[in-house]
Amino acid sequence: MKSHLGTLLNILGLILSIEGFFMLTCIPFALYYQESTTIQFLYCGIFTFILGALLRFLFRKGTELKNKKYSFLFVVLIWVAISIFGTLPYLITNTFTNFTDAFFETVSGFATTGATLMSDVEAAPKSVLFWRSLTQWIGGMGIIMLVIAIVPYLGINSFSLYSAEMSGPAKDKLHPKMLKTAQILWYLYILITAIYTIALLLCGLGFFDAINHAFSCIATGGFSTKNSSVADFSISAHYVISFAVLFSSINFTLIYFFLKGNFKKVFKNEEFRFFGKIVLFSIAFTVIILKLTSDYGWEESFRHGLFQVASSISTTGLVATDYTSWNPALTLLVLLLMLCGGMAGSTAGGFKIVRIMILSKNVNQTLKEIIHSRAISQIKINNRILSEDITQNVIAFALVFFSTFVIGVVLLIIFNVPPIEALGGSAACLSGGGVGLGEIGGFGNYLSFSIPAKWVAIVLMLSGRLELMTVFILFSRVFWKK
Amino acid sequence: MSKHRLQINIPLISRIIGIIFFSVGIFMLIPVFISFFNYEEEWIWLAVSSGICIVSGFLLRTFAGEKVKYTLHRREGFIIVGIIWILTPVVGALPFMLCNVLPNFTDAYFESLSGFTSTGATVINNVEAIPKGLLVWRSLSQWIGGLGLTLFSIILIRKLREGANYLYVAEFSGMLKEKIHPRMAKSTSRLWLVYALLTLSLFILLLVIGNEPVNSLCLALSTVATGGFSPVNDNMSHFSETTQIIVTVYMFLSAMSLVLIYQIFTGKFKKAFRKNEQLKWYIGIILTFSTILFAILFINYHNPIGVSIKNALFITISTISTTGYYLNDVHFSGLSVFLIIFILMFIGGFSGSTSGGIKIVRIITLLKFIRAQFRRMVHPQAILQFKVNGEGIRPRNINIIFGFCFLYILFFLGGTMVLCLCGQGLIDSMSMSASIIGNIGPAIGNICSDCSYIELPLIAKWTMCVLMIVGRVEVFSFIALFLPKFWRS
Repeated sequence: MKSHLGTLLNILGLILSIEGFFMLTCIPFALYYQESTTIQFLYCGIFTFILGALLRFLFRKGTELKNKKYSFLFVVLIWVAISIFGTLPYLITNTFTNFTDAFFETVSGFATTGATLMSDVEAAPKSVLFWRSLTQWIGGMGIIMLVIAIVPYLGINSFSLYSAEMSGPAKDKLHPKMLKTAQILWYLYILITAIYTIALLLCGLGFFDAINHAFSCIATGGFSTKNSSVADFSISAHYVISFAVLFSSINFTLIYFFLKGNFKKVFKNEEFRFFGKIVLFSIAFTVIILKLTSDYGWEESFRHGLFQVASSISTTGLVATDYTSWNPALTLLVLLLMLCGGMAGSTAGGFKIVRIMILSKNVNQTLKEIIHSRAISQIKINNRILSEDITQNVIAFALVFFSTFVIGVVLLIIFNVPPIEALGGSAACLSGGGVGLGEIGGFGNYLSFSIPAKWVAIVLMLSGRLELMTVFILFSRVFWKK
Repeated sequence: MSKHRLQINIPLISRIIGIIFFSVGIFMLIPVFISFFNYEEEWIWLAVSSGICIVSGFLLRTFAGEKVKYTLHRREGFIIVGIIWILTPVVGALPFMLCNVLPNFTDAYFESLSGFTSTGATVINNVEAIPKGLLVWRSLSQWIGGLGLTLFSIILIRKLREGANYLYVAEFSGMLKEKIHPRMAKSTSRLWLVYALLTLSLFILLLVIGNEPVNSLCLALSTVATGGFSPVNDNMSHFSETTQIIVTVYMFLSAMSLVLIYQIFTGKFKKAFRKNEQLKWYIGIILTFSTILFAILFINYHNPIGVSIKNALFITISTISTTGYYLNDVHFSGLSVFLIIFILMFIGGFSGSTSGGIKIVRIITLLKFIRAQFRRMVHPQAILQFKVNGEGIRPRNINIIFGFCFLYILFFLGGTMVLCLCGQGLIDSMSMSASIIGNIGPAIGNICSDCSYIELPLIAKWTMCVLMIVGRVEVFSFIALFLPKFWRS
């Protein structure tokens, strides 16, 4: 265990110094907007950076991570640690006066949830807002991916970490050239962010708004720099954001193929097609119901329908109009889409499309088997046979996901959250959607939550982002038994 | 093998349905007599309905001819079960229409189906104003449906042999492996005997403590069937506390499998308790939830201790057994109570009992499965193995159980969606949908406490009908009937 601790602190050191560096990037904004936060950001940035460097130096003998078991622990601890240090800018600038709130906001950022406790975003210093969006951006691709891109210089066997981070049915194991792939993904990430920023600039946003919303879109986070989220932006911006978040919820490997011009591979991918079907169907449903039950015109129905479906299924949580006043059937749809989430290997949260696909195929086969009493034929995805282990694993995940959601609702209600908010809050935090129903939906925020309810939300956000099992296994007896 | 449409043994289906209609008609004579001796003029219409049932049943039997082949395939088993559950309520609806209580077919069918599926959701606003005979018929339909129409036909058609097994599997798909007697017909008739004895004893008990005969009869029939129709407007609040306690005990018993009760009656305690994990969990769940409820009722609402305990147990058992009796003042007393009821709605009783819901065995199995999966995350080489009720669970079992839960939740969500579109609020819709698919009955979340589905638009009522059947036949039969892809061989 001792050598493991060394390794942990070594990695932690690296990540903290990176986090410190990112804090420093907020300074130009502070300077430009002539805010008094310059020196404060300098302090936290340098403090975090030096602490990280010190840890790296002291535990430079970090050995390889041999036991896969500990990678679960590492991922969770690292995520918690960066979130703790991420609160520094909020606390030092007095944006939040207590730790719970600051921690909530940071976790929400790093988990790309986008649930916020800021009631008046526009009044906050721009540099703090930038830090807020930046946490999403960092969290988006995953600090772990960052580590994988930089790890070549460290010589730590990072594969075990990687598999803990992506405990989903990751069929495209990048093993042989994993580090190179990670680097490519990383460049891709920056490239797409740049494209989004330019597109938003063209839609008439200022540079500051454009870059912050680009961060929100690529990370499918949901923090905005406006009190009314994106409602006051131009119509073209709404369309750009809709497509941007949908694009961000596509598997990054596929995006890579897409950008390389290998369209065939993209459109032949089963998960992509399934995702497309769900999105198109939900948009059609929403638009029709909106047209029938509200006083929107066709264009408006389409725009809001598209935007809300995109924002929900990608678990972004940017808001163009107050959807909580729509017909409850649509509210339910928003909730379900959020829980469903985007494709595996994207920044979107939720249950993930590929899992839904595996489950529905499995149920389909089972039905046939029960009714015809015939041996089950194997399930295939992208022409590859899925092993029984994977299906069983996905079923277990589904059960855990569902139970966590239900327990979340119950706990929130116990801590005095009204039922509609509890339902929405649990779904929003678990999936990373960020905005829920009722007071915490639409343009609302989580200020009405009591302190324990905020902690429930924090746990939901963290465990949802880390694919549940990674977190919960730490609380099992099996894990700690020798 | 080329794809061809399934050959269905139509004469056999016709014969089975004929027999069921016929016996429903015979049962309907009971309300006719009750109505007659209560000097109600509607007795004649009840008699007419009974006549129609008997005649149509007889005709269907004759239509089938004498040379019926008693062979049945697995698929047909599912389809027959589906058809039985859809058609029987049609004749069951006759009395409501002919007596002019529910003149339109949708309402009458809803009420009748709610009876046969032992749901207990009602579209009659003022129950006390309708003829006594009809009240008895409502409860009687629950009693008939409670144990299963299919089991009924199995006794009556002894020639089915293996086919009977398929019917049995189709109605109790999932994991029912317990059998009292190797021969189907005999074992099912024993189940009916236990069922009848339970009902009779409850009826006598209720009479002895001073309830009116008709009320006692209705309560006895509805309780043992875990149905939940009440012969009075105030549901259970109308009755004395002693009555409530007795009913609670019987609801508790009725949600256990009849096989288990049979074993207990015949003194096979070892077999009953040692091998049955369900019982432990059942009691555990009831104690946990009623303790929480007790705390809420006692602390938040300042009820006296005795009353709180009684009410907590009553609510918990009424919901978990999917009976759906309610106490006006307690069931609608607040959110926390609602939340607990809502969760309980999904749990349900034993497999092989008259209760609905997901059923305890499935929940136990899935929980153990999750635990096994976690163990495998730490020890990837370990082999996944665990037992429920002493039987090893294989991935196939998990697939079936999970498939059931998945579809159950899907139908629940679909129902909620339709209710939302029909203008109900989200929480109300969820509550109603859960209550109906779990065959519980009343819409607890509803702010109005009269719990009537009468105001719902037509399309919502039909959706609720679908959910009742889906919940009762445990999803698979319904799907087998309506997804053509499963008809093909």
